[in-house]
Amino acid sequence: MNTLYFDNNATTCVAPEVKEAILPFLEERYGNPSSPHHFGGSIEGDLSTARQKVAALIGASPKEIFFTSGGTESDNLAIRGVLSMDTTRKHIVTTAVEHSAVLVQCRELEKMGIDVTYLPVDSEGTLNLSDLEKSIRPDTALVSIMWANNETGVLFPIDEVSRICQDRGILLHVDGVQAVGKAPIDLTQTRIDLLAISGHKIHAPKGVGALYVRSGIKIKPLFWGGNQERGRRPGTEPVPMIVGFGKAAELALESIREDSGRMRLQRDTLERGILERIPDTIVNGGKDPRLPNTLSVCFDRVEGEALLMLMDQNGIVASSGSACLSHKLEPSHVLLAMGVGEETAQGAVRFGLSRYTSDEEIQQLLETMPALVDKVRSLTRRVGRS
Amino acid sequence: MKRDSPTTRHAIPINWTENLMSKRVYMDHNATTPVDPEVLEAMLPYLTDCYGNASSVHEWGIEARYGVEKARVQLGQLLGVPEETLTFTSCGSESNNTILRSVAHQHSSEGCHIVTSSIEHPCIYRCLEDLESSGSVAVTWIDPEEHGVIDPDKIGKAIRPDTRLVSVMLANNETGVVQPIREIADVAHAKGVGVHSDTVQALGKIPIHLGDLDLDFATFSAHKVYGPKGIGAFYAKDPTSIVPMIRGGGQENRLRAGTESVPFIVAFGAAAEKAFRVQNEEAGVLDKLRNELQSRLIEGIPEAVVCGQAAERLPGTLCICFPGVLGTYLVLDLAEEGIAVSSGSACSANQSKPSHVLVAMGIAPEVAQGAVRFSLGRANSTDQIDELVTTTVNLVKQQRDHPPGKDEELDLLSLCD
Repeated sequence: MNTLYFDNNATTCVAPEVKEAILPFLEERYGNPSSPHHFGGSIEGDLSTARQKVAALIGASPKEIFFTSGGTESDNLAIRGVLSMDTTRKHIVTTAVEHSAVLVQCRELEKMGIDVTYLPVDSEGTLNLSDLEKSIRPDTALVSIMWANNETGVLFPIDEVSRICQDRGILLHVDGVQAVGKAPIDLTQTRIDLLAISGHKIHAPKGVGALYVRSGIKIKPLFWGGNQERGRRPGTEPVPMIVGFGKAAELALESIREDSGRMRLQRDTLERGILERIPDTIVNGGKDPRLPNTLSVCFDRVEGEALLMLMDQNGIVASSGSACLSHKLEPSHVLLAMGVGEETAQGAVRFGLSRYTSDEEIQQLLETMPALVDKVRSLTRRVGRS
Repeated sequence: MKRDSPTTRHAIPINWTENLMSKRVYMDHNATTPVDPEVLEAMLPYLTDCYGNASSVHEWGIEARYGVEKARVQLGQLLGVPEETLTFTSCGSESNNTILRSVAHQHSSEGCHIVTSSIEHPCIYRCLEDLESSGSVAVTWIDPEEHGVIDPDKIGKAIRPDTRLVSVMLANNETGVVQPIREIADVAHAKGVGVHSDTVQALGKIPIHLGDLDLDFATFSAHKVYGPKGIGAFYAKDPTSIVPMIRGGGQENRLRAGTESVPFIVAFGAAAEKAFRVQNEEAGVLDKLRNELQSRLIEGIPEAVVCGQAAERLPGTLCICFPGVLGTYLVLDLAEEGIAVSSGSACSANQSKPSHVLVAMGIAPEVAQGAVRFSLGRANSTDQIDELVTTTVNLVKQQRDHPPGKDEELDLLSLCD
């Protein structure tokens, strides 16, 4: 059975070029970059090339890039790294729709005496900037806001957020995990102090990410060890993954314009087709600006998990929301924050496209979905909702 | 599963690889190891076709989850513990920091004293120094005896009513000296104190049965055991005692957030499985090889000092000081000859300082500066010994005859293994 993979916001395949780039470092070029003997050629050079490529993708300077084990670690490092630099500032501002890497951490920080303001969003998933302005206090250490929502793809107005933070002299951390590589990001145009990036959302392997730290901003490391990553992130560098991340960043930069244009057309076709063919369906956060690859819909009178299971049996892979929370059967905190009713939110399905998604796959998906939704709706009608 | 044929797999010019291969001798297995071909074979499908997110509930997620859980079983088998006591992390450093911070955090309100040794890896001592400076813990550092062994009695004597943890490495990365962890654990447990051991260097080189060692916590890294860099793990007898250091999604039973690095976890599992199969036999081979290298080097340079010679050492590790020589230069000279070894100095801002491990063992600083570590492993064989010994002996003699000028700046070498 030909599988239709539409879960690219959860994770992406490793690009063939990335795999090619990684392999020599899993084979003969295995030296430790901290060793003086440069076994297998200068590995330091390969690390710095990767750093340049990741920096180029976001318009940063290589010395502002610190490799980590992933987006979650980068978010943790950014938030805790800032808070521990100045312990007199005990307030942070974030939003109600952040990824768990930020939200779970914030809840933990609350237990440790940090005040957290969770900014609400409206029914389209967008922020009211005056809420942000009002939330900032003299003891605010950090504003932490995602660039693109992982469930709906809604893009926050980071340019305006950045201006507000600059005016008020507050550090800004942006969770860029979903946006980087899909939306054009140029930090020479938008001033951000910290930006979290993940490799596996842009066709690099899982287990590598980066934190951009604007030149001059000081953060405390999450943990201690050797001098790798200039002491900000110790541990022997995962050379194959970093090299793969660099290659993936290079590919993303080369094709971002073309890829996002194509994905937008495909996504719009998918969205239109679903709305035409499947009644009682709403799009979550459907107003632009939105990531070009993301479509979140709620099918009324549908248990999302049941639908996803049926889709899975029919070779269609998608998700209800964040994979990081997918073992919870609670409705999405993002949709609830947007005012979607609990019952409707249960019927949420997220489609995430990638540069490898074909038009044929969109058509196949459109042809298959109506019958599957119908089937779940008729079952639900029979069994009744608990 | 698709896999390209080996000849077309990578873009490096064949000649370049061959030149490098024919010339080089890799004797730095304590710094990092090559990825075993069997390990690479096991992980490749997860780098290509099986790319699902292990937290996803669909077929692709389940396939990835299977890879992760199989690896956990494989690691559990190597260590002799149930797999639910094992948590994957990104590296040994992260694992060690997680354990130490957990203990400090759990006892933050009632005072926390930790007993450790003065020969630990930087990720242990720097973490403890940080916790000490923030006032979260008090630390007692125990020096080793002359041969690099930590005396369990000294650990016992250092334990106070507020001691919450004893943390001593199982084998030292520089000297290979194996510590009497079971005795240390007995002493600590008799006083109701938990025990952690950094077993990063020992894993796969000597059999480790965590139950027999009676440890509460232990830490591991894949790239020292022929797995890839960027993946580690920790053992917690009671996982509820762990306070997560990286928070977010519910991965790793809520002990370590972040999308599971599936291919690298699978690789760690395969590496553990292979170690379980071959470690006894391999240890015998490497012990013999190391002893041969050791006696031949002493034959060539009779005044050389072997660190920890009288102690039990990891089979492949030889730390040897050549008096009158700077180890850091010798390492660079050897590198030019295609021989990869490392000097005795550990991660430190000022690399011209002699190793803190060797100094703690009572080796005079001027002798310790001449330390070179040969660490043998799967990349080595008997036929490399002759050339290696001849080259090393010649380079030592050369350096003694022509000492490096004082104005010559030392490269900033940071050995972090």
